[in-house]
Amino acid sequence: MDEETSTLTFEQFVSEATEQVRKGNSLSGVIVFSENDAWRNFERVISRFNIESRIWTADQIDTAQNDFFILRFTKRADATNRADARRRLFFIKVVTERESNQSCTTLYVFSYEGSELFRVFKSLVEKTRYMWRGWIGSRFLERFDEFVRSVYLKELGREGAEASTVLVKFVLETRDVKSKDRKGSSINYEKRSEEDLNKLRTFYWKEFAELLYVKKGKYKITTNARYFSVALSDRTEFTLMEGDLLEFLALFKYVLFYARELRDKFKKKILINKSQRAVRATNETLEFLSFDKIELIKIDVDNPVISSWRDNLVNTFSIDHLREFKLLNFVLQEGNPYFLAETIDLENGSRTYVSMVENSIRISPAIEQTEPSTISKLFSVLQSRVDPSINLIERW
Amino acid sequence: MVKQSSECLLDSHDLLVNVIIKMTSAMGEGAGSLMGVNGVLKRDLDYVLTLDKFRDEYETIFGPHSHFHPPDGFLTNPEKSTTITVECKSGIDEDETNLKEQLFFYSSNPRFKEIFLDPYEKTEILIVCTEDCLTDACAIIEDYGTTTNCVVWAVKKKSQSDEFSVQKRFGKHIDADLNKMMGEGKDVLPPSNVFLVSPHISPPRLAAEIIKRLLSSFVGSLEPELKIKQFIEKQTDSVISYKRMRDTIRYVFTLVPELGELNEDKTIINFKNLRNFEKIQRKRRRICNLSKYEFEQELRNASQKKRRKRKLKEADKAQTKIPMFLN
Repeated sequence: MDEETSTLTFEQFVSEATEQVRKGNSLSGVIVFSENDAWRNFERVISRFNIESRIWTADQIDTAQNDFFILRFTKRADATNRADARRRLFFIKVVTERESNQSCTTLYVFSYEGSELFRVFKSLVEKTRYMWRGWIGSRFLERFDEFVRSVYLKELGREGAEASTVLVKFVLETRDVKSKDRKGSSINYEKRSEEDLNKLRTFYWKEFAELLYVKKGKYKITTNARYFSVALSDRTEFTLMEGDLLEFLALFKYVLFYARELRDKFKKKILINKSQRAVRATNETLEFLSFDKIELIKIDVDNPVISSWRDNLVNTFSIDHLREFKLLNFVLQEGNPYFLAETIDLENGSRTYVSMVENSIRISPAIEQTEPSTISKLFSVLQSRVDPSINLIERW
Repeated sequence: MVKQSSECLLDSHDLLVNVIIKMTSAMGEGAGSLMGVNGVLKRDLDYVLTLDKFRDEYETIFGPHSHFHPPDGFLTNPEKSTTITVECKSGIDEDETNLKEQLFFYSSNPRFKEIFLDPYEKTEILIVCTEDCLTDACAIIEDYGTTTNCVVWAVKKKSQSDEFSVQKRFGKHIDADLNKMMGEGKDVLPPSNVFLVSPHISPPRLAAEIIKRLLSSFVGSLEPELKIKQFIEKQTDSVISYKRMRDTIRYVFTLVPELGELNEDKTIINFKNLRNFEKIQRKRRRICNLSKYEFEQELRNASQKKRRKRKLKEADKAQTKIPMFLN
C-alpha cells in the first residue's frame, strides 16, 4: 500500500470526536502500554498481520505530529475497489513518551468502530510482543463511583464532589469455578450498594456455585456543568456515549494514573548474582550463583466475599489449561492451605509462581522479571475465579 | 470435576534448599512495594547462600573416581571469614548421595578445600534435614566422627500454621551468634519460588522440569527454532551442568515428540506447532512420576520405537525408488 500522510492533528480529532458524540456516534478507546518501545515496531507487526489475516489488511497513516498517527483497516474484499472501500480508522495518541528512567510508553487508542473491529485491533495488540492493553480490574469498576468522587474532590473541591452523581450499571460475567471455560451468560445489574452486590454474589455462589465478575461498568456521571455517559471495562476499554471528549479525558487521565501505578507494581524481579572462581591447579573456572533479591506481590485476603476462596484458588490453578486466559498451570505443592503452582502465559511464555499461605496470595517471577501483562491476567483470574475482593491497590 | 491430577509435586529436597534460599535472600514483599525484607540469616547475621553451578569440569578437577557430589550450597559470611558447606537431606542414602561419603569428601578432600573453602578461616558442615531423617543423620555424623565441625538443622512444618520451623538440633556452630539464633529456631514461610538448585535432581524430574521450560520458551519465542545452547544459558537459576541439561533435552524430544524435533547434529530445536498442551502436560506428569529405572526403560523403548520407525521410513523410500528407476 502507498504511504499516506494525514493533515489531521490530535486537537482537531478531539473537537471532531466531541461533535460526533454529540450527533449520537459513540467513541471507543483503550489504554495500550508498550514496553521497550515496542510500538515503534508497529509497522513490522502490521505487515505480519497483513500476511496472516484473511479478512482485514491494515496500514499506518502518519500525521504531522510525531505523537499522533492513524491505523487504517480495510476489508480484503473491499481492497480492490479502493474508492468504494469502507475505511476503518483507529486514532493513536502517544500519551507519555518513554523516558530514560522508564521502560514503558503509554498510548491512547480511539475509534468509532464497533466491537467486531475492536476485537481485530485487540488481537493485533495481543500479537505484538511487549504491547498490552491496560488493566484496572473488576474491583476498580465496582468502586468507580467512589473513584470519581475522589477525583472531583481533588479537582473541584468538596462542593463539586458532593454535587457529583454517578449512576452505575454492571455487566456481570458468571463463572463456574470447576469449569475450564467461562459461562456464556452475563447479567445486567444496577448497583445499589457494595453490600447488595456482595449479597447477590453470595447468593449465586451458594445456589449455583458461580462467581460474578464485573466485566464492564456503565456510568452516568454528572457534576456541575459536566455530564458523561460512559462504559468502562476491566481492560481500560471505554465507550463514550454522551459528553465532551476533552472533559472526559480530564477524568480518564486519573484512570490512566491508576493503571500505570498497577503496571509498575506488576513488575517484579529476581536478582541472581553470578560469580566465577578460577581453579589454580587445572586452569578451570567455576561458576557460583546467589539469589540476591526475590521480589514478590503479596495480596492479603482479609475480607473475602467467598468463604471458600482457598478451594477456588486450588481448583483454578489445578486446571491444566485455563483456555479462557491462555494459561498453563502446574501444581507444585498442595499443603493445607499452602499451595504453590507455576503458570505459563501462552501469549508471551512468561513463567510465574502463584502461592497461597493462610490469608495471603503471593505472585512471584520464575526467572528475571514478571511480564505486567501476565500479572494483570493473573489478577483477572483471581478476581473472577477465586474471590472478587482481591485487589492490589484500594486507595484512589 | 476439572481438578486434574497433580502428582508432579515439589520434591522434599527442593523444598529444603528453597527454604534456605528464602532465609538468605532479600525478599521484596508487601503490596507491590520494592522495599525488601531480608531473609533472617541475611538480615541479622549477613549470611548469603552461594550455590556452585555444577560443571562438567568437576571430573577433570577431582578425578573420575573421586565420588564427588556437589553440596547444595555454601552459607558464607565474608566479614566473619566463615563458610558453611550446606547439604540438604530429605532422606538418608538417596539414589546418588551417601551422607557418609559426602562428609568424608567435604572434610578431607584437599582440592575441595582449596576450591570452595579458601580463603575462609572458619569452615564447617551443615546438614539441613527433615524431621523424618534427623535421627539417622545425627547417628551417621556421630559414627563418622569427622574432623570438621558438623551441625544439623531440622526443618519441620509447624502444626496449625503454614510456616516451617528451622532449628539447630545437633552440634554447635563456630559463630556464636548463629549458634544462638538457630538454637532458638526460626520460623520461615514456605517458598514462593522454586529454582532448579538441586544438583542431585533425579533424571525424570529434571526431564519434567525441562519440558515445562521448553514450553515456556517456545510460546515466548517468535522463531520456530531455538538453539539448545541458548536455551540452557537462559536458565539462569539452574545449577545443573551443561552436559546434563543438553542430554536431558535430547531425552525429552525422544519421549515427547509432540514438542518438536532436534536437527541432525542435535543442537537446534525445531518446535512443532503446539496445539495439544494437555497431552504434553499429561506426558510430562507421567514422566515426572517415573522412577529412575522406569525412566531409563521408557527412554530405551522410545528410542527403539523411533529407530524402527526411521528404518520403516527408509525402507518405504527405497521401495518407492525402484519403480521410478524402472520407469
